Amino acid sequence: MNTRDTARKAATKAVKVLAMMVAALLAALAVAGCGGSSVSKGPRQEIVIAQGTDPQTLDPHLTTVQQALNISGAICEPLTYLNYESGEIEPLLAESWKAITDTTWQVKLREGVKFTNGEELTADAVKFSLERIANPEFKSPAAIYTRPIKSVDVVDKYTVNITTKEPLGVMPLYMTRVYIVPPKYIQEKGDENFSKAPVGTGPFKLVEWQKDEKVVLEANPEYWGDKPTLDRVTFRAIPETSTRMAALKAGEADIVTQVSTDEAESLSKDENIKILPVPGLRVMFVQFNLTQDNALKDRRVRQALNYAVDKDAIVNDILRGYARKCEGQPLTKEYFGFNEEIKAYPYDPEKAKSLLAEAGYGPDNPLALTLYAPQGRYNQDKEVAQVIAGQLEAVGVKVDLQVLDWGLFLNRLVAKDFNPMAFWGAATEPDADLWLSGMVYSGAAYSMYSNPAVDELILKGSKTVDQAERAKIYGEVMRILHDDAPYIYLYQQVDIYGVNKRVEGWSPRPDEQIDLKGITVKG
Amino acid sequence: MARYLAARLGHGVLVTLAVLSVAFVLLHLAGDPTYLLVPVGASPEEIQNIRHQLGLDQPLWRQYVNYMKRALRGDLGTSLRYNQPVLGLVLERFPATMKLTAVALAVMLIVAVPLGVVSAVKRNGAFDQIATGLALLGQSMPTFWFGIVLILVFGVSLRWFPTSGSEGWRALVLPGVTLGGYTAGLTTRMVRSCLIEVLGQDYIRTARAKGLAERMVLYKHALRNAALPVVTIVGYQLSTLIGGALVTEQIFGYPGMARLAVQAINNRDFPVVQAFVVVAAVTVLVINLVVDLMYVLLDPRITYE
Repeated sequence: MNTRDTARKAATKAVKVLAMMVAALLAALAVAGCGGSSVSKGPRQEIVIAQGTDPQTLDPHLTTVQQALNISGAICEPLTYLNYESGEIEPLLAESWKAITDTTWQVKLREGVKFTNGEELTADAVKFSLERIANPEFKSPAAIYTRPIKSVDVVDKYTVNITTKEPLGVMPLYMTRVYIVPPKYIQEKGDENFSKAPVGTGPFKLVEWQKDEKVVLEANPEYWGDKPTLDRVTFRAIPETSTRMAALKAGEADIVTQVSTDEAESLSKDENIKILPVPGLRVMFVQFNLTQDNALKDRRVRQALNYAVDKDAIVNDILRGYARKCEGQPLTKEYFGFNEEIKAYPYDPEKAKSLLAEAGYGPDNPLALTLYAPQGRYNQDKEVAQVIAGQLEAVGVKVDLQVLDWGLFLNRLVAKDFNPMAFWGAATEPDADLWLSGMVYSGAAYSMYSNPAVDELILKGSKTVDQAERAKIYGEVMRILHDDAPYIYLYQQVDIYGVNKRVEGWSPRPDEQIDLKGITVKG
Repeated sequence: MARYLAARLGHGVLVTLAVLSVAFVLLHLAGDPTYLLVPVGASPEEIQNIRHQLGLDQPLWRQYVNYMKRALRGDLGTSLRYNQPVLGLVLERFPATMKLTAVALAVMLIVAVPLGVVSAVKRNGAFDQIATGLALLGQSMPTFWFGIVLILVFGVSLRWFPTSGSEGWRALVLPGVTLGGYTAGLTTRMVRSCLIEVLGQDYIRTARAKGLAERMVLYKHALRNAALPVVTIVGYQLSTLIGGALVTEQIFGYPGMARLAVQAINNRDFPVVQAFVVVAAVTVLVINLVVDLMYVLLDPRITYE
């Protein structure tokens, strides 16, 4: 027998053995796989929520990232709760609160509330929590909410006075963001241990946290309020969008966040999945840089550009309906201070042309503008910028579109190095005070506008404690900003959630907070 | 041997220093992270304060000197996002990445060695043609795409394996196959060509001439001699696997150090990225050293004097 044949025989045998091994291995894997997925869920109410990121900390004082607060906020609770349906701030750990002077808020705590380590909720815990956040050495990002506070004084076991440096109308809203933590537990265990294993007064308590993998919570049987409807909640961190969607389709996750518009279409064809869109707090606009000398100094030009852009076309065609048109003002109805009477600038290219003509621009003397836009930061950002540029061209404006990567864009944005305009979007806590103080007030970090009358109203609104009065003041600011048009008002972004149909009683909020209250699971 | 080891270790330290420097320069080209850390509405003073705290307001060369000084003491800095020492953050996730790398390496060897051997022995036959084609496909398929396809087929449609995570051995299968499959292509081709070369050697003819069973010729004479270049390739592929983990861990939501690095890149968390680069580089250096030492075991002709 020749050696070549023998070699072939040996090889053929090797192939056979190999093929058998592979087949056996695959069969074994498959059997094990099937066994694992058919575990019955039983009567327990359990859900899995997949978000894009794992919390960097479970200490609610060390983050303002909502994905992290969705978890630590189920364990620890703040004083008050913002109900988006009614637009009201409701009691939570605070039973009631009132302004006893211009600068002092008196907060009455709910009695008989216990942290899960047995500690009682008292005025001391509130004082401890607020001072912990305000301590500069602790470097809490939540310190923006305690910055206006001058002192916190314990009146009696369940009453605390919070005194601000200036009168501050937005205080009850800030109190929705300040979580109350157990002082004795933290003093005993230290900050670092608390950030890994927090205890609180909330409806859930921590079972385990496997970093970058999952956080498991279970119902707190001694919760002071309505008993949680869920027995167990697992938060998983799946950074890649398509994998997160796969987890939903495979039934491994019941609620997934940050669904893209493309995926929403394909997920909606799955009969086990429902798509829940919700208009978010991020407002998209073209901001005019009025701190520089340019053609936009003329109000007629600014209004003309507002008439020239077809907001409905952007919302329906580019964003496929996953956006909501702004009503001719920087705020949306989710924000306190929104003016319902103001409507969007209608799409009216003729009006735009005539306003431009009035300002001295026409076919012989066209207006030329540069539009800066980021890419890869907002949903379809580059595409939207291209459409805006096209629509402005249609009324005779020559547009030089500069699309920049987000990092570069951001560097220019903070340096206010945009002349004369940039497309982007901003979100703050849902109150006019915060949006206007950061975006509109002369010289503020992202303001490229200066109007003494508006500045005065912003200050006045900030220092007004009476909420009806505040609403009136901001309503007036919205009117001025509509007419003066320092922006092209575009649309608000919509956040999309994918939910398994077995989950009932849950709806998403505009601020990305995930409310576990009242969720039930069937089947 | 001791002198050789000392020289190699010294060399390793130099390379590590160079890696530290390159990591520093590259990341500082990426822009100022301060603005990603402050909320809308922060005043210019607050922004300046944060920048000062981070030392980002100092001239670049001074930032570099401070960074190297601290690095030599084993302090690679504090994460901007986690507010924890970065080396701890990376090392905490190191075992998970090594576990995935080991599974991928096993997948690579299980696929590549038999395929390569059979292709070499049955050179130019149908099996060889198919195997070589598959190897080329594996080499040219983007990990990202391959991973998603595996998730959709085996995770969503068949539901044999979880789509993501690291819980239980089943969770390691899809990322292991994704990562191992990517490197299996090149390895198969290397095994094949090394073995073909060895099979043409005189001593193989001698072995056959003295009447040895073909199996003995293949396993004892040919494969052992082909092992040397294959070990080199495996060592080289290990560094590819660690790099490939960047994509694989991200897709599969696998809690390793590479995913931490991807997240840190997105957040511009400079110190975390630097620590990852250093840890990955040191790992590769150590692996290469081990590979070189393995030559001694595999080939009695090689000694390090």
